[in-house]
Amino acid sequence: MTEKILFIVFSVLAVAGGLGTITRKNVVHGLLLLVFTFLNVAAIFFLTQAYFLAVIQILVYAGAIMVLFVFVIMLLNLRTFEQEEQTHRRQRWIAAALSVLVLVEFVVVLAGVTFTSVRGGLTPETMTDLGGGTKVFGDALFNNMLLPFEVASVVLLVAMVGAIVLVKREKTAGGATRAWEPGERPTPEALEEEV
Amino acid sequence: MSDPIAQLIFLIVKAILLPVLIVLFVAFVIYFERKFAGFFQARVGPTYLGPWGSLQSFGDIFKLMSKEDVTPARADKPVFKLAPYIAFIPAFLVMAVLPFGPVGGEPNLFGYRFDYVIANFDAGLVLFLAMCALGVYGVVLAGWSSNSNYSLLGGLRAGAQMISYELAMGFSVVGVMLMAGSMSLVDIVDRQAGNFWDWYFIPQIVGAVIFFIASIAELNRTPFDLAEAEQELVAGHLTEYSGMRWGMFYFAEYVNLVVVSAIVSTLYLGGWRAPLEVLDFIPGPIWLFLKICVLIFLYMWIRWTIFRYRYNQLMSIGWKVLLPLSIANLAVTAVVVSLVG
Repeated sequence: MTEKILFIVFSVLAVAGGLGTITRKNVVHGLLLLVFTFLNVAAIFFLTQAYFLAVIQILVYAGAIMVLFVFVIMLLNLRTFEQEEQTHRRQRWIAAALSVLVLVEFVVVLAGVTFTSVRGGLTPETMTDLGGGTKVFGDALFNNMLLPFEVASVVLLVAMVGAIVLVKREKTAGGATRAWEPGERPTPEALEEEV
Repeated sequence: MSDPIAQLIFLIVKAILLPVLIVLFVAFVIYFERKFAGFFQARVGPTYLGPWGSLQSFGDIFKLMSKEDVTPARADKPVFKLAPYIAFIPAFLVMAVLPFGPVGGEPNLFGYRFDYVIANFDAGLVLFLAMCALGVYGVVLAGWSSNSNYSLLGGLRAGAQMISYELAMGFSVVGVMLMAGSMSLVDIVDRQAGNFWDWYFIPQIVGAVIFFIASIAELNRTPFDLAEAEQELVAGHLTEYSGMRWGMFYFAEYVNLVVVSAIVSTLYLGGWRAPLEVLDFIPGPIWLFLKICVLIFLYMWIRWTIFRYRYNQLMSIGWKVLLPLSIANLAVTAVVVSLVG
């Protein structure tokens, strides 16, 4: 009973946060509401006793990804965005139709699914018998899902290397990497790199 | 009274008592910081209120509450007002997973089992890392919402610094996870049972030092207090704050200090366990408190002794020294753990 009430509270808050995210014109307010939504989703994970997932949800989404978003927006100072005219007015009908379609798909697919695993249904009790949610999750990730896991990590590595290559300065004719442009005052970092 | 009801009452008592005790303790930690700063710099520190000035913090709280709370006219008002609370909450959430005495076993209080932890679940250590990650928001949002260049630069610096040192911190903690075979803080303390040479700071000395240095950076204390570098940035992200909102940031900093000290003692110094088995008759919470006090003194000692690093030095230490070292530590620990046990 308590769980049901808490579930309703957190899911209402999560949906409200999501609605707030797409209706705010101030980008930072929108981002903060999205973080709020993530935290409520984490709370729902906690209710289902999926502690590891809940904590990872906070660590990865609210803690890492959204902080980078906040950084980019602060550095670009997108506050001026809110005054600009809204463009792409015609797209909003197509977008509405598409989102209704996705919602219907979700409902149809999820209605036919029962959440079981190789070992049968995973209730909080069976999870405790198997050594806790973290252990079950690790087992699944590094045994059954090893190939997708490795592929995903290689893809992420490629993205990281790509990002570094894109921002790396080009080599000068002499072959030495020049850390600052000629005629420019060298920054302390550049001087240190040179040494 | 049935057992679940007793556990519920215990839970409520613990969830109220632990934060209240820590907040009371923090008032004296702030006093000691000022007193120690005085000793280190050959002056006396606070002397007027109470014996040896020991009630200074309470006087400060009344002063801050009676001051005007100024909001800059062009600030982003909702975010500006919310930021102090965002800085405040993560530290308190970590207290939920902190074991401060034995967990499980025989009934020990009025015929019921009293667990010395608020929430014991198998991802407690990851919760600490997640809360560290959330701690960035308070600083960054305070810097951004003030609409002042000093604040924005301070917030950006603090954000970049915390993200950089979080990596080294996370990697160094994995060594402890591997040795204990668990991510639950309760289990980690249990695996360090015995005398002080069974604690993890001996096999994990590299990880412990990395964790300690990274935690100074996470706490934004000198030599890593670039966010508030007063010679360059006035007061960094706190420039536009006044009165109790400023006080909340200040207070959150010290709650974080206490909580991080508690986590360091839990991970590397045996948590609530006595240094020698013969001393087990002294209750666990007292040992944890003593360890926290020693660590806090260490943090203060470093703060008032070492100069602030330059920004590029800070980044080199984080990315070129601590991160590779912590990954090497993790690799060695993984090999040894898989060979030995």
